[in-house]
Amino acid sequence: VNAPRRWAVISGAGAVSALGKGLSALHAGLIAGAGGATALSSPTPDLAVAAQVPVVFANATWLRAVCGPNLRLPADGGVFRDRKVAFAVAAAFEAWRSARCDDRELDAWLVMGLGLEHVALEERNRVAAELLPGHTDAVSQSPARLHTLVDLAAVTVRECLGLRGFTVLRSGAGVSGADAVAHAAALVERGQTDLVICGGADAMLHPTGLATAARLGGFSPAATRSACRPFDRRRDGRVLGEGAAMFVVELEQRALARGAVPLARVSGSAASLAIDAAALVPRALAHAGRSLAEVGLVVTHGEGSPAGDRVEANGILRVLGGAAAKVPMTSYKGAIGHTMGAAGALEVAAALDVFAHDRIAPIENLGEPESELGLDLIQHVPRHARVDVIAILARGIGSRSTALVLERADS
Amino acid sequence: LAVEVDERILAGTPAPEPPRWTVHRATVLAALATRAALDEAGWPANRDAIGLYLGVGAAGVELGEVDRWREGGAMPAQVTNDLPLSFTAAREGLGGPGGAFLSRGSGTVFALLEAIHALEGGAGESASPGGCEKILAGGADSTVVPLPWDELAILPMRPAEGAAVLALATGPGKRLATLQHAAVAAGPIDRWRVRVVHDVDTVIVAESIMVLQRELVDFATRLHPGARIHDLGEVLGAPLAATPALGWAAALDLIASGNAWRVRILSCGLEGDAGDVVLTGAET
Repeated sequence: VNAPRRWAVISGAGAVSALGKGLSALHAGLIAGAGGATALSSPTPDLAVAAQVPVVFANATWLRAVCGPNLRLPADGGVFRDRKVAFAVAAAFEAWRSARCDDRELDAWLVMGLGLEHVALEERNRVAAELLPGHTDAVSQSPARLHTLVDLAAVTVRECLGLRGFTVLRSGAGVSGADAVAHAAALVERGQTDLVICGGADAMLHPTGLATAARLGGFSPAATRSACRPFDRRRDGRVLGEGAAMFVVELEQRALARGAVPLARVSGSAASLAIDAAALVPRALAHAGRSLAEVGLVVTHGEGSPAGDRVEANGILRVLGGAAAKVPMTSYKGAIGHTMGAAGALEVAAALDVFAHDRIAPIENLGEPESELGLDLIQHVPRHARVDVIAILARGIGSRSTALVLERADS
Repeated sequence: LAVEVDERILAGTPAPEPPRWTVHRATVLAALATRAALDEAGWPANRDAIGLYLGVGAAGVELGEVDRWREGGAMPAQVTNDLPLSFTAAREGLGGPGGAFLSRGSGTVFALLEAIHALEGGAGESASPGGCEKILAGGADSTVVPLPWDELAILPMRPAEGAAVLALATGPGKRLATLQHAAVAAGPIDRWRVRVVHDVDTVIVAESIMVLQRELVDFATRLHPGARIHDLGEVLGAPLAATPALGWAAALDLIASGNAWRVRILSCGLEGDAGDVVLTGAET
C-alpha cells in the first residue's frame, strides 16, 4: 500500500513536423516563429494551405539520410507510400537513440495513437497483381481497398526497431497521441512494463485526407502562412498539419541506471468521453499529486476555430477561475497545424523545450488576442520562465478529451 | 460465406446527427450492444460519470458509398476507427473515462483491462484517484463490408460481425458474475504463461483464425482437463475486435442459465496475443 510510486519519465523524444525533422528543429522553429502553413501542391476548393513537413518523398531513402545506416528498414519499401509511416519511424528512431536504448531494451511495449485512417480507391487488378501474385481470386470484387493497413506505422516502427513487446493501438484522432503517452506512463506506473515506445503519427495531405477534412469542416479558408490563428479575434478555422512525435517512456530508475537523461515526468493524466479537456485538469493534477496553484503553463488544444477556442477558454476559466489570467498559455497549432493523430504527441514534444531551456514558445500568428477570453496568452516573443508543472489539453473529434500533466524530471 | 447480423436486429437504429458520417455496421452494433447492456444493468439516465472502453476494428464503408464516391457524388466518411466509441458515447450521453483500442482480437482485452483499471481507481489516464463506479467495456467489429475484407481476404478466416459490451461495477448490487481475472499473454500459444485458476468448469475459446482453432482448443484442454470446451470461432466466425467480448458475453449467458459456474475465456486475435478472462458466478 505504501510502496513508492513508480515514476514514468520521458527519456527520449523524436519529432517530425512542419518545422523539420528532429526535436531540436521543432523547438527552435517554435521559438523563432518559423512555422505556419504553405501552399498545397494540389489544393482543394476548401483547403489551399497546410502545415507540411518539408520533405517531398518521405521514403526509405529519406529515412536512411536522417536516421543513418543503423536503422533496420523493412524489405518492402512500399510501406512508405503513406507518409506517416516514415514520419513515425524517423521520430521513433530519434527517441530510441536519444534515450540511449539498445538491444537490451527490445522487450519494450509499443503504444501508438492512430489518426483518421483513410481509404483510397485503387484498381483491384493492379492491387491484386502487386500484393497477391497468384492469389487474385482471393480478392473480393470491391473496387476499393484500405490505402494502407490501419496500423502500418506501428507495424513498421516495431519492425525497424526490432521490438518484441506488446503493441497497443489507441484510436481517437485528435486525442490519440496524448492517450498513447498517458497510456504508456500508466503501464509503467502500474508495473506492467518498465519501458514503452509511444506517440502518434499522421499525414492526411493526400486527396482522400483533404476531401475528408473538407467534409469535417472547420478549416480556415485563408490561403496564407498565418491561416491558423489560435485565440486571435480574426481566427477562422484550423489548418491541417502532418508529422509525428515518439517517445521512450520508462521507469525513472531504469532510465537513470542506463545513463539516459529524463526530459520530463509524465505524472498525471485523465481522459473522458466529454469535450471539455480543461475539466479534466483537476483529476490529472490529483493523479500527479499536484495542485492547480502549481501549474506554470497550460498548453491548450488551441486550434484556431472561432467556437472551439472560445469553448476551450471558457473551460479553462471555469477550472482556474481568477488564476487563469496569471497562468501562461500557449498553443502550437499556429506553427505546426492540427496534426490529428500526432497532435497530442507533438504537443508533448514541443512542451519538453520548456523544461530544457526555461522558455515558452509564443502562439504563432496571434496578433490580436481576443481579450474577452481572459487568458494570459503568450504572444509575439518567447517568455522566459522556470516552469515545474505543465498541463496539456487535447480534444478529439466525436467528443473526446485528454489532459496530461508533465513535470520537471528533477522536481 | 460470412456470419452476418440479421438485418431485423439492425433495423430502427438511429442515424448520426449531423448526417455527415457513414455509419459503419460496427458502429450500429456497438450502439445496440451498449444500449442493451445499459438497460440490463438498469443504470440511470444521468450517465455523465459512466465510462466506455471499446475494442474497435478497421472500420469500413458500404459498397454503395464507395460507388457514389467513385462517381463523384457524396464523399463518404474517411474511415474513423473510433466511431463506434464516440457515436455510442454521444448517443447514450456517456461522459466518464473512455477509449478506443484498435483490435484484431487482443486490443479488446486491453480495452477491458483499462476499464477494470478505471474501476479500481489506480494510476493512469483512465481514472481519477478513487475510481469510477460504472464502466462499460467490450468490442465491436464487422469484417463483412468490403474494405476490411479486402485486407483480410488472404487469411483463413470467415468474415463476421458482432458486438458485445459488459456493464462493470464495483460494490454491492445485482450482478451476473464476478470478473475474477483478466490478462494478456504473448507469444506462440504453447508458450503462453497464464495464471493458475482452480475450479474452472467451462472454457470458451474465441479465435479469429481457423489455423489457431485446434491449437487453442488443445491448450484449453491441457490447462483445464475435464472442463467443457466451447469453440466460439466455430459458431461466430471472425468478428475480430468483437471476438473476445462475444466470448465474455457467452460466458455470462452460460453462468446466468446455470450451465456453468466458473468460465475461462481464452481469446486469440490476428496479433497472436492471448486474452485470458475468468468470470465466476455467484456463490451458492
